[in-house]
Amino acid sequence: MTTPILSVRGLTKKFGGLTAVNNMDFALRTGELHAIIGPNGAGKTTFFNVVSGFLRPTAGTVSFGGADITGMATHRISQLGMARTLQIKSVFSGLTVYDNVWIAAHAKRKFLHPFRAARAYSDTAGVVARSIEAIGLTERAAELAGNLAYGDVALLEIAIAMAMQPRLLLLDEPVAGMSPEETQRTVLKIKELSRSVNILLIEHDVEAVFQIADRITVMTQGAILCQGTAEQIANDPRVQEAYLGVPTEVGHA
Amino acid sequence: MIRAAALLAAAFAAPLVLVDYQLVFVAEILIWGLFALSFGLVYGFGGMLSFAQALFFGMGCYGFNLATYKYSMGTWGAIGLGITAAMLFAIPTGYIATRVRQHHFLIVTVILSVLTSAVLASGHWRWIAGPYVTRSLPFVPTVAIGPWEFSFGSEIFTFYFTVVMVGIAVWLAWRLVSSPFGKALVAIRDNEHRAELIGLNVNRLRWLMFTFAAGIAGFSGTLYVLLARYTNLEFFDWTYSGKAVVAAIVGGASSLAGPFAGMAFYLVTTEHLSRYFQQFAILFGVLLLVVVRFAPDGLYVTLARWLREAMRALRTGSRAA
Amino acid sequence: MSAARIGSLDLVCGALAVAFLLSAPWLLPRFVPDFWVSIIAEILIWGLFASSANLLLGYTGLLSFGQSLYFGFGAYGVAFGIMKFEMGIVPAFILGVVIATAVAAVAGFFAVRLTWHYFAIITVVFSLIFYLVAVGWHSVTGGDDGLSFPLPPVARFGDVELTLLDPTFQYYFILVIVAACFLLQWIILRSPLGVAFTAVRENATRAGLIGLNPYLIRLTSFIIAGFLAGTAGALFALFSRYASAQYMYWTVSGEAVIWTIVGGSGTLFGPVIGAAVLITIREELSLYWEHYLILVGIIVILVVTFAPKGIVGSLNAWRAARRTARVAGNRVRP
Repeated sequence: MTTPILSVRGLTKKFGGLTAVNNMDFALRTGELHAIIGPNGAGKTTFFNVVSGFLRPTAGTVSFGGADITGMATHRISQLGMARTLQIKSVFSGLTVYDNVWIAAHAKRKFLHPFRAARAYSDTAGVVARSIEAIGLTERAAELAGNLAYGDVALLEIAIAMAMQPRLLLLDEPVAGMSPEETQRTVLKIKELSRSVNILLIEHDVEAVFQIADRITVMTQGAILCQGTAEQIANDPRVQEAYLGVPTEVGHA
Repeated sequence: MIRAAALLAAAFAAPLVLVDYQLVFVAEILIWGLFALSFGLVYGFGGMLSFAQALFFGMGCYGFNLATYKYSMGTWGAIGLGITAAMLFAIPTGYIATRVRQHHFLIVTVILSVLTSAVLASGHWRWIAGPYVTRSLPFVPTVAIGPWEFSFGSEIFTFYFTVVMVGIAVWLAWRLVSSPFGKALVAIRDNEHRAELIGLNVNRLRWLMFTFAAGIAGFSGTLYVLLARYTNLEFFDWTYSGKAVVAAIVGGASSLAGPFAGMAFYLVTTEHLSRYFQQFAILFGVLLLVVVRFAPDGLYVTLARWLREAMRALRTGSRAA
Repeated sequence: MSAARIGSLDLVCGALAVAFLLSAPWLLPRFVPDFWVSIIAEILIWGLFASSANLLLGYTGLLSFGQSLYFGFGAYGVAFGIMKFEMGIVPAFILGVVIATAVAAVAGFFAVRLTWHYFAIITVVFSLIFYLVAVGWHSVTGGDDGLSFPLPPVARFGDVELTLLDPTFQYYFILVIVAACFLLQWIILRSPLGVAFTAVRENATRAGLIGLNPYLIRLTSFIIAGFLAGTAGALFALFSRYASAQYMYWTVSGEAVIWTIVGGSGTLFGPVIGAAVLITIREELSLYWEHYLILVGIIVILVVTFAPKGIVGSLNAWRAARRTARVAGNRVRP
């Protein structure tokens, strides 16, 4: 039984009177592509925010790869190998696509050399070239990130995350706002990536999730409702109720 | 609301406890507090860090003097002209200033301040503005309210007048920030892009707020002339803007009472510690640093919040017991 | 890294500038009065000072109105070194720079954590406080009158003395040090640290998410900027044999910001160009009109409103636009 790459115990996050995450236990097994779904307000993004260090938990612990990271600063968690994309896509608008990925690839080094030319780091350049190619933005590499179309910004975010060569990748609504073709392309890319890195994702597009996720967690009102494979979830009446309020037949994706 | 009523009651009762010069001091606090509020409006609600508020205070003084000497207007007319002068000055300066954002806005307001001070120092203003900027009032002004005529020679009357006038201004500001206009500005301050996308004309709204705040600053300028009966060129200086900035931030820039609290603190301490001015300056700098780091909403606002939460905890605690 | 590509135009301009600067002490006096050589030396010093504001504002996204503080410490360090500790020029110079950098480290430790409004205000407040202390502490700092001191020679070779009292030697001394500082900036800005500065400027949240520590990176930038400002101050003290509290006053910092913006923030030489243009205007205008500040102020407002990229920035943008247009034009042709 290997240590789960991410494990959360008794995690609670309150905002004043509002409990966004309520005493949650969760473990992500190594090698599985795991998705978290649930209606709006279920606490999914708050969960991500606590795990990645944006918020301190009101109670509970988070451990990453066996190490306790509860309350650790975001940049330290990132250095430990956790990469994350944001619900509202956020990149370095004033830098080129190339530089966006470059700094992501290089930031892990504790010491940023102030005197060596950045271009001289051939190992970093290699990672950058591969990451940009993997998401298909090689032609736009010299463009400013602020000028990219929305779909490309989402891809750039994924490239940034991958360039960090993380152990765990948290994707927050990766296909939000995408057309069906873009969604299909991104979903397949995510599946491909999951072969080399652990992925935990939040999504609203349930069909996309059913297509690629090994296991799915359904959250509602700050707690886990149920977990299982796509088939188990699809046929669980509690899930149908949570989403639709009324038990109905849910077709297979 | 209760707080406002209590304050007002305290204000009206004050002459029973305080002596003449103390009343004048409190009136000064109110006037400078209103000036600090003008910064609070433009920064706390409008999101614009402006170092130009002193310009409008000065314009208020100028307008008042102009009305009194050149046009021989009564007090009400002079106050009106002072406010108008300030707002008129704000229109072009605000237009320039609100076309740019963030850092550049701050720099433009600073340069406008310095520029105006340079123009004033050069004496060139005389042929634009006449000798009315720094005139002192040699006579004691009177004001007509209804059928009676009151004189500002009486400290008690001056005090009450100031209280009422400042009260009206604060009430106006309160109406403004609770209005749709005020809500729009808060939205702009929070997420300008999103505000544009829902159809708000960001530049125009900012400009309007800038002008309104300038009017408030000008109003406080006219009140000052009525109180102190003199105007000094240094009122236009960026350092006076700086005082408004520091007072509003220390007290709480996003509240209506915060700037008054901050200014009261500043004036009371300068009054008593003027001997130790340098040490005091250091102390104030450290205080600002502490406030900005640990209580960025301002001391008054933070303390008020703590009190409220403490009372709530006490109430729930006693209920549970 | 994202800097404009060096084209042939850049090389020509660069070569001309270098040739001009190297030959100024001999070439200039043929055309203009002698004192212009000193003005160029001053412009170099103030350009270096402005570049400290530029490193913070243009590259790291921090608006500081307090760089004059470190300038002042650099100058006072030199003054004390020579007057109280009887040091030679080079040790006194190093003392000034070290003190300025140390003060920047302490101030930065507190200030850099704040959001930009408060950061800007606090830098002014720091500057103001030290100015007040310096002015008041007359016995130590000479107050507003400042401290004047004699300059020991830099070096002696037998009978020959190299002293900064010789305007030509002084000019080259300043030129070498300023050039070295700009070279240092160029190296840093193209290094991983430099990329990190711009990343933090662009999106501090995202920077944290990729493992950069925004606070540390901003603090590093602040300390380097303090070093640059302190070096400028130390040079100024040597140049004028004088250190005074009035150079700590916030308006001096304001000038650094203004020169940077007019010249072009976020460009390496923008600050020097801005300083050169505005100081030259000041020198020329002040002969005819004692209130030249008004014109300078108007120019600055116009630049900030209509050409916020500044002189060098706008030039770069124009050339980049022409380049893309040319490339697009080339692609269209079969």
